[in-house]
Amino acid sequence: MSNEPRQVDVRPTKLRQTFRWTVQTLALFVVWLAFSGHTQIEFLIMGAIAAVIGTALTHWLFAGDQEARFRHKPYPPSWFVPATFRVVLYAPWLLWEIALSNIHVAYLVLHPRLPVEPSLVEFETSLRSETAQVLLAQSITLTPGTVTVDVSNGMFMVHCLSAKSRQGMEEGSIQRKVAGIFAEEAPDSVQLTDVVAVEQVLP
Amino acid sequence: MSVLFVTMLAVAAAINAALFYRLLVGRTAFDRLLAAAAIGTNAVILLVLIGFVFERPDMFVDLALSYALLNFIGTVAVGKYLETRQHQLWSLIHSAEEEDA
Amino acid sequence: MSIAGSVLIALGLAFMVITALGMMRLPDFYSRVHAVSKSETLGIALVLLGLILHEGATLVSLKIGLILVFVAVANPVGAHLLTRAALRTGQLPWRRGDGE
Repeated sequence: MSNEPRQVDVRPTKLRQTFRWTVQTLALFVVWLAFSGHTQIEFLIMGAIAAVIGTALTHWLFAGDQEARFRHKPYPPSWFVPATFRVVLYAPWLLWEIALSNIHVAYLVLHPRLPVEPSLVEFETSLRSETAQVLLAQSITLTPGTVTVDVSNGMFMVHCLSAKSRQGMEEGSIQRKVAGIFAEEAPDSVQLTDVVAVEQVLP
Repeated sequence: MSVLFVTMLAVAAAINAALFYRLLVGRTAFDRLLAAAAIGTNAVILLVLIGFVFERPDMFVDLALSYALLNFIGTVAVGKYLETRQHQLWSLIHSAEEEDA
Repeated sequence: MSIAGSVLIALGLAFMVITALGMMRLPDFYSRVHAVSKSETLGIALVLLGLILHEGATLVSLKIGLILVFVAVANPVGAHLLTRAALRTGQLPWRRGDGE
């Protein structure tokens, strides 16, 4: 598993791009319909033109992003059914964490002595797929007292608001949960590096 | 009925006033930007509530939605601009240091 | 007006008050981001949910639902973009013992 290359070049094909733009134009047109609520032919034509312009603008703005990209190997179609199931199971836990994190922030803010202990830490994730990294970053932001500041090349930079939240990061339980969804490996504890100097954050 | 909405409107407006403190005092540009983003998000709530107070929610909800979109685009654009500007500045300084050495 | 809707709106406004207090009290930019990306998102989501309950199943509540989804996605992302920009300009977070 660890010897084979985990990242491959997934340049989008012409067909795939055309499909992408068609879907985007249709989606924009449906949004237009939902908001205007009119069905006269003039409004429909206006909506269609606006949808095409919107798609063209996004293509123009994000053209660089659609060039060569190195990503995790695409998953086989059979993989998505159990993965979707696991994500659905993950959602209630995440909602509960959102509630907890809000109570935590409220406690810190309302406490008369303001018991915050901020620290900026950096760690390397064991997750390889981009989707898993995005889910981890979002989950860290939503869990009590931590915000993802930067993600690049598998290095996560996280701002912790209190000593308790920092300890939570060290245990790495979120990473293990996300790794479980994507069938990847995760260590029992995470090595955190404190970021205290400007040289550590600048290229 | 409407009294309730007016009360909510007053609370939301008071929250916005408190956020204006951070916008004016600031200390760093990013503090001000964050306060501006938070005020913009609160304005969405204000717009929806105003719609309910004047019993025209259908019109004000559209306004609120476009305001939410524009607010997000504004935050992203300004943040992106500052990031790239400072990036260029830093690389300029670093290359100058290398030339000196 | 339904009781559940009123309770949700009151709870949401309470979280928005906490956001405002956090913006005033917390020591530096990075800590204030916690207040905006967490408390404000939840506060606005709760207020909008309460308004949906109040309005019932109409086109207006559909649009409020759209606003809710958009704000729930855009608010944390915007806060994250700002923190990343701040970090890349070389601004470091406040630590206990730094003074002020």
